[in-house]
Amino acid sequence: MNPYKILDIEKNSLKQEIIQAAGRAMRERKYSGKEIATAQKKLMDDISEPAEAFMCFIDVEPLLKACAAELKAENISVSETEEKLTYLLGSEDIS
Amino acid sequence: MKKKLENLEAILDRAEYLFEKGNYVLAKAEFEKINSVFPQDDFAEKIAICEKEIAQVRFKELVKKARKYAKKNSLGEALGYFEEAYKISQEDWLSERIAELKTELFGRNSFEAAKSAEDSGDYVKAADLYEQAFATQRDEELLLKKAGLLVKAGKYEEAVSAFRSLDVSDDDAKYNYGFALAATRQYCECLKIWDTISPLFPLAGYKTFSQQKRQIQSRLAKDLMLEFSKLIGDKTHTEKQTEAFSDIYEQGRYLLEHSEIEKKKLTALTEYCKYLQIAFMWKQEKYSDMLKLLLPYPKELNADLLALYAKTFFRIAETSEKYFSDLVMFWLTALYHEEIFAKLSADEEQSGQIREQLLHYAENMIKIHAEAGNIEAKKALRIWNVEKRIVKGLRDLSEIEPEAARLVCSSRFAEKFGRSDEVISFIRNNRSFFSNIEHYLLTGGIFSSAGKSLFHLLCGEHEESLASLPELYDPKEAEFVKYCTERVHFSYGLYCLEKGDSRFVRYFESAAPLFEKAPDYEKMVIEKSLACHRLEEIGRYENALSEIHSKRPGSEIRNALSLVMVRRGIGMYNKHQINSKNMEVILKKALQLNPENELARVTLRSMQVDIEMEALGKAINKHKMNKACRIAADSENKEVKSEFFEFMKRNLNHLEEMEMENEEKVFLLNDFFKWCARVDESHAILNDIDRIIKKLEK
Repeated sequence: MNPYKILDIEKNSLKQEIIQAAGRAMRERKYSGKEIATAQKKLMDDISEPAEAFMCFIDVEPLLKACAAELKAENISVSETEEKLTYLLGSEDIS
Repeated sequence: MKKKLENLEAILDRAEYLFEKGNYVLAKAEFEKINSVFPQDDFAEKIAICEKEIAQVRFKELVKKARKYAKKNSLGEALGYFEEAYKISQEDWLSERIAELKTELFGRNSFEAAKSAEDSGDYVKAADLYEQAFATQRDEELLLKKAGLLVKAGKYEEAVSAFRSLDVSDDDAKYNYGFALAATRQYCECLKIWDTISPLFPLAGYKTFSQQKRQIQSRLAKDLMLEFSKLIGDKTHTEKQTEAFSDIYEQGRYLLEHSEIEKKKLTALTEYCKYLQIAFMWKQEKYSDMLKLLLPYPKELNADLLALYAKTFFRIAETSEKYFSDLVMFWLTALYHEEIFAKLSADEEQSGQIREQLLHYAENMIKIHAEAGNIEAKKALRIWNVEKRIVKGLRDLSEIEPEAARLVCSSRFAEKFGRSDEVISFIRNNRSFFSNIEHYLLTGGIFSSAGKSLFHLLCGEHEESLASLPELYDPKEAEFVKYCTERVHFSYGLYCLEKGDSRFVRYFESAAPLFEKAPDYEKMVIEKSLACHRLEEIGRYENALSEIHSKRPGSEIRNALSLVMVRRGIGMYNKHQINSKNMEVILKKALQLNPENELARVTLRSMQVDIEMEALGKAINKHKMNKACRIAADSENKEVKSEFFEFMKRNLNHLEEMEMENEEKVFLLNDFFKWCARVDESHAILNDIDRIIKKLEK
């Protein structure tokens, strides 16, 4: 189970925010008390929290940046005029 | 008047005659002549019959003619005759046939008209007429014709929609369809269609067609760029936008895979779209969909991509109960990757703890699935246990040589991403780092070309393990491949031995060098040989140990062989498969190998008593007392001697009770004395014999 999803919070939330989120989750009753307590415990722990963050979040920003940089370097140009399409079946111009 | 009557009679006769002969036309004329002069109901009836018969004949003639024309495909004439026949007889089948012919004729007319319109260049009209012809003829070719003509007429959108509902397998039609798609800016679809055109299709060989394809590829690339620029500018990130990125990705991928267009820019574009989709799918927990985008693996993985693969495979394994071995490969590599490790926490010690926890999560997850009976998870767990140790070892090694940090990876990762050779060199250059020779060889072996075979072995897949040993390999990895081969052969030998396959001896031939490097395997085979109980299996172990001993005569193998020989001998003796003499030979041989073999010694002693007792009994039964004395005298076993004296005591008692002359008794007693004295001069029986002799002599 994803503790961030259970508590509906972002990664790197402050401990105070985690406690508040746990209270809110209890009131909403979308998850069992045990699930909420486990999620809170995991996110309050200095070792478990970063471990959970590693498993629950992916970061594609560096990958996007690398692609964007490549595109920038290639200088996107779309202004060329299009050559007319010629129908070739039965045409005498084909070679 | 009389003459007139005679004349009428003659007409009537002729009429009747003709009627009888079936010539109803002439008969009718004759009957009408008579009826006009002398009207009678009888004549009128005959005339009616004739008329009916005449009509019937006419009907048959018309139908015959109609069918003849229909056969000749002259549908107009056929229709005329059928219609005329229908006037005579309104039969149902005839009306149906007339309707059919009319439809067919209409279709044919439409087809002819379409052809003529096509010849005159009126393609729109021709297309319409072909569709009309299809309505009657139901031939899909007509619709393909229509769609093709719409292309010629420049009605591209209509042409595309006409082609969409058809099975386009003809190359002409494929070209037309593709052209219409291109003309409506559906470039990717056009290329997909044109790429299926047969190379034998005349147009396919023309340069102009290749140029046209390149033109479309270039247009598609430009369109994708344009669309991408628009989407990037819009920061709303809606689901619709994600779909648009997905479209660009799919088309970009197709173009990359099926064209020779400049790839760098297009690759960056498709990759960008791919990662955007991945981020979206991750949020929605669509991990299996992510996998479709992540496979096949790229040639190179940087830290960000490696972390992405590791996390995705963790989630996929967790939810789909598959891909455990991929999880092992990426999870270990990612967590021991120095860049990823550094990002876990600012504090190195804490990073270490986080890594341990993450390793524990993955291991635990695999274990849970393995314990639930998932075969792939069971295999992955065995691989995990070995790979974890190996990767950790490489990490420790890289601390000595920091520039080699990029080589810290699982063996499957190294193989997939072409790092195996470098890792092997790294291991070879740091031989002294390893705790023992086997640790060194195992680490190198896992990364060598025999690594796959070793993994099969770890998973208990003996046949696959043997089959995947490499026949050719790089001399640089020779020592590792050799070690793997020895291990695989040794394990395969044990596997054969345990299942009763006699080929096991062949595979133990290379066991000696393996035991040199890893004595634990020698201990293993010794323990197994001593733990088995079935006679056949003990026999096979004896052969195996004997083979190993012949190549590597170490004391442990020798002692084990000695013990196994005795155990086998005892088993055979107890089953009466060998006699005591054979058993004695075995025991002596076992004692030769190991003089301290207590089991052999005790058994041999006990066997010898049995043998001597048997020989003593035989000699006594045959009254060969000299031989009996010699056996008892020579024996070192007191049981044999005491058996001899017991026998003599019984004889002494019998003699006392026997009725015979005293002289005879004394004679016999002197023999008794002589025999007993030969065995033991100090035995008490001698006094008894002497006393009886003296008593008898008195």
